Amino acid sequence: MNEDARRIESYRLEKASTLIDLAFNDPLSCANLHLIFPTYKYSIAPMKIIATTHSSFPRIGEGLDEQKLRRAYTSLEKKKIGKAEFEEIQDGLVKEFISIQESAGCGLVTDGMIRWYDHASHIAGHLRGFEINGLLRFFDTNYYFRQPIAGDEIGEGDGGLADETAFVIENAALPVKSVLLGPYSLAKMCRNKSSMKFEGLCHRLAEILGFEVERMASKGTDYIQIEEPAFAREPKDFELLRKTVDIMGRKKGKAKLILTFYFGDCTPLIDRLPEIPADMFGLDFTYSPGLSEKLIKRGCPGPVSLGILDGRNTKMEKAEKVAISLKNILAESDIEECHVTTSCGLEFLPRQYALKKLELTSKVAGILNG
Amino acid sequence: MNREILKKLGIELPLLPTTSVGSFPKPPYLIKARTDRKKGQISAEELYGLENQATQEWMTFQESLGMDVLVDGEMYRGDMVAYFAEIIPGFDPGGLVRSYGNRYYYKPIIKGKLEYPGPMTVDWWKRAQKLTRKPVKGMLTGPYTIMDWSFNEYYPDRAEASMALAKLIRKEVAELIKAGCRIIQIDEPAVSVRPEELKIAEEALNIVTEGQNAYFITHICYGAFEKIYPEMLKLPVHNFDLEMSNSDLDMLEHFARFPFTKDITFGVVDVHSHVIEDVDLIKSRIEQALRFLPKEAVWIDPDCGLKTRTVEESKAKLYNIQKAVEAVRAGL
Repeated sequence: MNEDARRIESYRLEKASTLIDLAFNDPLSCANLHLIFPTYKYSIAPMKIIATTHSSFPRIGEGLDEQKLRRAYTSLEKKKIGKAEFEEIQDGLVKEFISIQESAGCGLVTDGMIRWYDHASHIAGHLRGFEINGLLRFFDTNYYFRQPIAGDEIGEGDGGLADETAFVIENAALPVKSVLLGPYSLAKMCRNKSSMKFEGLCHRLAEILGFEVERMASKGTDYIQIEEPAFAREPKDFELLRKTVDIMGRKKGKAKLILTFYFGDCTPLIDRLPEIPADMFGLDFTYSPGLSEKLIKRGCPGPVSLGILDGRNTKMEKAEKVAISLKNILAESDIEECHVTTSCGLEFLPRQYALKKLELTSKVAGILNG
Repeated sequence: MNREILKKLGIELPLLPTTSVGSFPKPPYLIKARTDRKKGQISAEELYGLENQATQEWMTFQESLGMDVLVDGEMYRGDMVAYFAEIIPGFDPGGLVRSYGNRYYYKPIIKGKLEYPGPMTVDWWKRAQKLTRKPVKGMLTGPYTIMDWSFNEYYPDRAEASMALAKLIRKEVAELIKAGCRIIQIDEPAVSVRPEELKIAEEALNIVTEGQNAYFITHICYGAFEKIYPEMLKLPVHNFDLEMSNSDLDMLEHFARFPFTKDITFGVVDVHSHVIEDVDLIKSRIEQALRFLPKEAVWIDPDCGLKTRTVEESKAKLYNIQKAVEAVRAGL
């Protein structure tokens, strides 16, 4: 810890509430901070802070020109356009979103999940042996997914998910993050009509998704984000989760595996996360009231992707306040890399607000990078 | 059973009354008119005329089928939350977010103190009720759901936003009752989403219904009912309108363990499928329901609002429901 950080830490420990209150409640907090600490710097170099999209981005917006995909779906359903033309429109939108992320100042891009019908059926639809059934609510959102039905014959996919990754790599100048729904959450969201019990289904899905991880890695993706929202809500099967990540992790090649939790309190998981063989952990602060305090006390469990901006509300956080919080959180952590992102994918926000959150993410990372 | 309450309100219904959840699809001429109105190509009066026309058509259709409790079909509403948010001061229109697949809705933002703007649905209810001697349901979205399906930038937490909404929905209920409405449905599809917040929903619904003289229904769908059952029976309503067929009637197992103690409107067709369930399938679903529920307590309808189907699909689904109910009734 450098001299500056030591002074901040010392002051913070003595008068933590005063500093935080001042920073959080005074609109001139930044100015005040440098008055209190003439040498105050937000930077926590040499730690690398990267702004990134969590995963998804709204595929349509308010303007007519932002509704291309919506019209394309309708045209496809009415057979006015063919699959090739539809996919061309999707390709265009993925490119557009890559460009949006680059312009917004992200250091790492995703495909925005533009092609995903939903979190479950998109993955299951590319794997062998799944049927796709009726709609179910996606956790506590007002967004619905088609429930996959898993039978005994489920197996390796058609390579479509890796092709999507390859498309992003071809079209992005920045490092790429691919996204997969994790085996635990997929098993939870499926209707299990196989002869396997839940644990067996998780293992089988980990093997199957391991192939996808391998394919994505072989295409050259930099990060693979394994999303486990179901686990964060009911974190009772820790050993099972660990095993599934272990199975997939063996196939990751040079890619870094990010195990991401959202829509649930991550705080109780923190102490045990180092047992899981992931390269990075994605944490949702909005559902985890004690998380900041926990991380300040014990440090981060490893490289982290911090979902500190609320991906479910239009209210815009103040970049400086978030930067102060992050600096406190990261002060005691001896990690090389930290991603700053939203608590969940951005598709739960209207596009204009999602874009502002994305810009805010970059602003926060920019402050921290000095 | 709450047939006594209905009786006191002057309503006699047959066994297995048929109804709809609320919304019907807008006919193509109305969809076009709404687009034209947005572009300023037609006047508000012209749009209103066409909304009236479509309402009359749906009322006539429900009458012709022999349905028992009718709805106005919500031809004048774009979305069950956005409609109210557009009227209630304190809301900002927000923007489009995805519901599923290629379906989007406007999710509003609470930006300021919410206030009751005066009757929001009463005129439409009166217009629909004038067209029939059968009871027409008053249709409102519940406070918890409006809160949950909005962004909140004003109230300190979800509970306070819910209570603020409950107070103004209560006023709308009072206006509906004053106009003569006796069956009022408060849609709370979000209530099953966060089991830990069931108490908030209960408290809010209590504000809405307490001391108000009507038969109250709440519609809940697409959530983890099993996580809030049987506690959800504490919600202060007489009838729960539940989506059942989409989940293969799996709630019946729970009813076997903990008896359903209120009236139920039992969803028997999937509203997100183009497939028209045949009469035999619907009949078998009703018969399965009656193994676990007393016949006096059961109403029948689709799983949810039909607005996402075409007019033809919706009519076919409702037709088959009515035929299936008539067949089951004949055997009771």
